[in-house]
Amino acid sequence: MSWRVCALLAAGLVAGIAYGRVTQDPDTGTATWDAARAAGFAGYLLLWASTVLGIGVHFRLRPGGGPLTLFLEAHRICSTLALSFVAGHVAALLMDPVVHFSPVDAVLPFTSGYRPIQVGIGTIGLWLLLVTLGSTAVAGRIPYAKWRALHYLAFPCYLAALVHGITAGTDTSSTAALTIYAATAAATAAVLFGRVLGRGWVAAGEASSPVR
Amino acid sequence: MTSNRRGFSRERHTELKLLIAGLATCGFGLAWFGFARAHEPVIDSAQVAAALAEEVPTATPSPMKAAVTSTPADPATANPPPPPTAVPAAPTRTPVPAAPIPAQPSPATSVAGAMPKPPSTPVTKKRSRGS
Repeated sequence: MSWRVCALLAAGLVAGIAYGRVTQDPDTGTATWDAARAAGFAGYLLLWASTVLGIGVHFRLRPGGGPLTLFLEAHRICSTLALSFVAGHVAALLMDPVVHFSPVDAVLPFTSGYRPIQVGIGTIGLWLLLVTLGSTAVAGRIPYAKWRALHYLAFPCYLAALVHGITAGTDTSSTAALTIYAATAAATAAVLFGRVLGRGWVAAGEASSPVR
Repeated sequence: MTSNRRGFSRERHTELKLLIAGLATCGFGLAWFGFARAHEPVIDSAQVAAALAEEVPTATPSPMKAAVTSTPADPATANPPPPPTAVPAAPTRTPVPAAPIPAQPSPATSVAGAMPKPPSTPVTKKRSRGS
């Protein structure tokens, strides 16, 4: 389900951005650039939501007394949707007539001509996201400890996305973007802090609960 | 030890997932639309100079302009009304190409001190980045 939604959405995003590329002015059009910015923000927010919801899964929260799987499924769909929007972000940059962004720049870190370090951090974040989601896709066929170790890569992945958005994005100077980055980073830090502090409490809860 | 609990094999809450996907797509669309609307038209200094030069009042209006603006039945005008045959047909608006803008206006059309110095090379790919 999540992968199908992810694939459909990514295909729709790429098609829509390609349509914008065709219909815009070939030299001075900004449709692809605006799409890249919008997809970048959407991907970042979904990645943030996935990270926070993942920690919420660890806390075994039951919003409204609902089932435990609500957080888990929301966590899954947010992570796969983040990959879709990151794909749209990269596709829009590749199609932009002004930004000379090559597929090599999207795959290999620190090769971009524009802010190579900052863009390279984003490329590393993309690879970390792919490894995290790939390990979950084959989670039933790998040992739990290995999957769990790979799943912890989600934290540096989110951190890379945050740093990439702040340092490489052109909207960082705007108040709205700064508010988004500050609020999401603060929320993640708070939840992560609770996660670290609540390790013993959760472990005790796991010992008393028959369902993992 | 493997488990079927992890991974994407057993997924539930389809409505929730579709809701989140729809919200994310709508948010992306709104952001794209908002970014597109936030772009203000980029005006080159040469464009502004040309526009200002057009607004500088001239001593005598051109014959075409006088023929278009003056009405034959206007009693306040001292000039006699032009003969019907002299009235030109309604001028058709010819498309003005927007791209070829003179990089440096001629000295007759430039307004000294009012505009910054235009760039020496035409800026063809200038566009605003960011909001």
